[in-house]
Amino acid sequence: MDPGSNQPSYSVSDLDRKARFVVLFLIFSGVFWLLFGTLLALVASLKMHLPDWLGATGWLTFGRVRPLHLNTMVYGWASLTGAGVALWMLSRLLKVPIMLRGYIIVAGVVWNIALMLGSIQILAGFSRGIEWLEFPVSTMVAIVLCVIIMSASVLLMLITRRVKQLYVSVWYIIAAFLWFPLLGLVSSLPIFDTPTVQAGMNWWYAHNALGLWFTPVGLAAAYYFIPKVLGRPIYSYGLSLLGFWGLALFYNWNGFHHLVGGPVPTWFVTISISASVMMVIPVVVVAVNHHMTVVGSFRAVVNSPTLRFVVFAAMSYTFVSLQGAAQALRSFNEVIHFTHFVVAHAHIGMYAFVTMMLFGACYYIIPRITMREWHSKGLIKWHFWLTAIGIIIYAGALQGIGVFQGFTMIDPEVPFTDTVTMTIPYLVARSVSGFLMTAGHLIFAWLIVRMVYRTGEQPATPHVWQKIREEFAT
Amino acid sequence: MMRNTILLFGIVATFAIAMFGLTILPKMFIDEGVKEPTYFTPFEVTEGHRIFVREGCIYCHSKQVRPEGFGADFERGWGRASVATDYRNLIPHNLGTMRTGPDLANIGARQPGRDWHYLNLYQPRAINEHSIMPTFPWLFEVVSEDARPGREGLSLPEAFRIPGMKVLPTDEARYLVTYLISLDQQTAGVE
Amino acid sequence: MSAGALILVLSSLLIIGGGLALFLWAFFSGQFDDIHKGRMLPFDEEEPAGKRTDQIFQEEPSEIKKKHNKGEEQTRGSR
Repeated sequence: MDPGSNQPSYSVSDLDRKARFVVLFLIFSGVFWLLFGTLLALVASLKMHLPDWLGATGWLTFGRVRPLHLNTMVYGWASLTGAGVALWMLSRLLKVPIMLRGYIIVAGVVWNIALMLGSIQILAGFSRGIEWLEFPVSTMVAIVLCVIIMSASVLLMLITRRVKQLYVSVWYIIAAFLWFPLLGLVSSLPIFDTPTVQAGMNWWYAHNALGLWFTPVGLAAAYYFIPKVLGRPIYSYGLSLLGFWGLALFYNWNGFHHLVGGPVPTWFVTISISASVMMVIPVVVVAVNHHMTVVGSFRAVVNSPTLRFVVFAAMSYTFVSLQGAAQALRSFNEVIHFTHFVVAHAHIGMYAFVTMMLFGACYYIIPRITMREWHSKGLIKWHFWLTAIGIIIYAGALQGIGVFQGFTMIDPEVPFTDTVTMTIPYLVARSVSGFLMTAGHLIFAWLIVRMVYRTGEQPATPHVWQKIREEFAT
Repeated sequence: MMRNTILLFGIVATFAIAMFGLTILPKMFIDEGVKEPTYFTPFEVTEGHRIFVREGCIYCHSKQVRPEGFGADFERGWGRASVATDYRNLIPHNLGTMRTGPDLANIGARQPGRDWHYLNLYQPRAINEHSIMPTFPWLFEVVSEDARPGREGLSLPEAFRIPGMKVLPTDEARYLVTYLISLDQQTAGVE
Repeated sequence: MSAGALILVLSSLLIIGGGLALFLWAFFSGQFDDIHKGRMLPFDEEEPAGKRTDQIFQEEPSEIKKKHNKGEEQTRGSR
């Protein structure tokens, strides 16, 4: 608090109340795209081992459904919900209501419309044809403009904040809202007009979208919710600083590790491999910080739906980042490049880390902005176990067979067709895991809809958090 | 406020460095070489490329051969290491990141015959029963045997034949196949 | 190297140098001093440190009382 300040201060309930409509709107939008993207995922996954299924029309061909799945999950589910979660956290940490709420709602509507139009365009065959950038430029520019409105809100909140010092989550969130529009704009520029240069931009963009948009929002959530639920401050603030700057300085350069062995200058690739390995430092720093904060509080983690998801996600972040650093090394890359191992790696990152983190954040945020309780503890547990087991099966199956696929692919004695047939049972396992995750998502959506529309009964006894808040109310 | 200004500057600066490093610099260096040749790419090849992008072929097929000694690309007969000029001036780049299906950078040299490609696109399992490649029936039209006299349908195996009908490639199929056959490391690139 | 390329290289060196200088300045001028205070930022009067929140799956106090049957006043909720 600034001493001598005449600004009115906001209570936690004030902030949550003002955040209610905006954050719920963004989360609802995100969950809609989660369900749509999940349906696309099931179609794509089934088509890989049932290639003739739904094969009559171009609208549903694998080559269009699969990129639409990626784009709706990335720019729909993860970005919209991530934005809502980030804005809510920022409001709490800067002790100021979310600014420009009306504009953000409009931006959210435009964003959803852009996603719908972009989805139709991809299925109709007008994909931009660049991985992670399949949405037409019009869609991407619209989304970037919407994010810029949110970035303006973030900056206004920063300027009018009621706390002096910025918590680590705040740095990550501000950075994310500055980085992502820049990424989106640069990648939309028509200046990358030769194929290999465009490939460089492609992977600079895609990897940075992961590390400079989703990772910061995810880490901001971990740094906020772990202390919040446990009631224990983060183990070392200095370490979190190191982690942030490490991410900022090293992550940017990783992009070309996607092009190891490709038609680009070798020394560029080597820079990216070095940066990928240097990332181990901030990743380990974050892992140590989280672990030391959580250690000894296992019961508290298990008792909180938020922390079940958040801790699962934080551990996945450490795992997938260390794995990624290993994948950049040429000797490992030679084996696993172009295999299902990499697909699973991407899903560990976007699902086991980002998505599970967002689930956990929603379980904390939604009761507080709606002032209601989850109507079924059992369903929450189902959601957790279905999605956790789902992604573990997914990753285990595809990374397990991916390594073998890679080894057989670099063995010229093995006919290529065998490298495909060996993966089929594991692709089936992936579809099974997909059904588990789908069930989890439907349960999650149902829980939220019930929560907001208040159909049915509320639990008779208030839960622990409400009791504590009543105890401390003055 | 100063501290935050620094933070903001740091973020923007770090980002700008990376942007320069990974996009503009390669554009400078690679463009020095690539701007030299002029590509006379036939209409059919550019159209075929557009259809290749539309159907999402890159999500299963890579189009970049790794250098000899790195992986078994050379030993599998997939060609020499790809270079920037192999991709002509066709964007999006389609380098691809998956080998659910074989690499296509040199497919024109391995499969120079149009009929093989038509059959593979219409029904991949007619060629390899274990293939999981999708079918692309909308690139073809199924007409009665007597229609379009003079034009021969695809020679389908028994199991896939439709009695009294023949399968003809549409213009789109022809363009796509022309593009695929143009993916030949001997003839691709500088004209 | 063309003039345009030279300018790009020089300006990126300037940005790198500037960014590093600013970071070092921030560090040595004490921007990162309040380490201990920083840890406490997620907490406030309404939701203080030391209090666990969101323990939704925890058993209700009345159920625990029934289980332990010790006649004690103290329950987990009021700790």
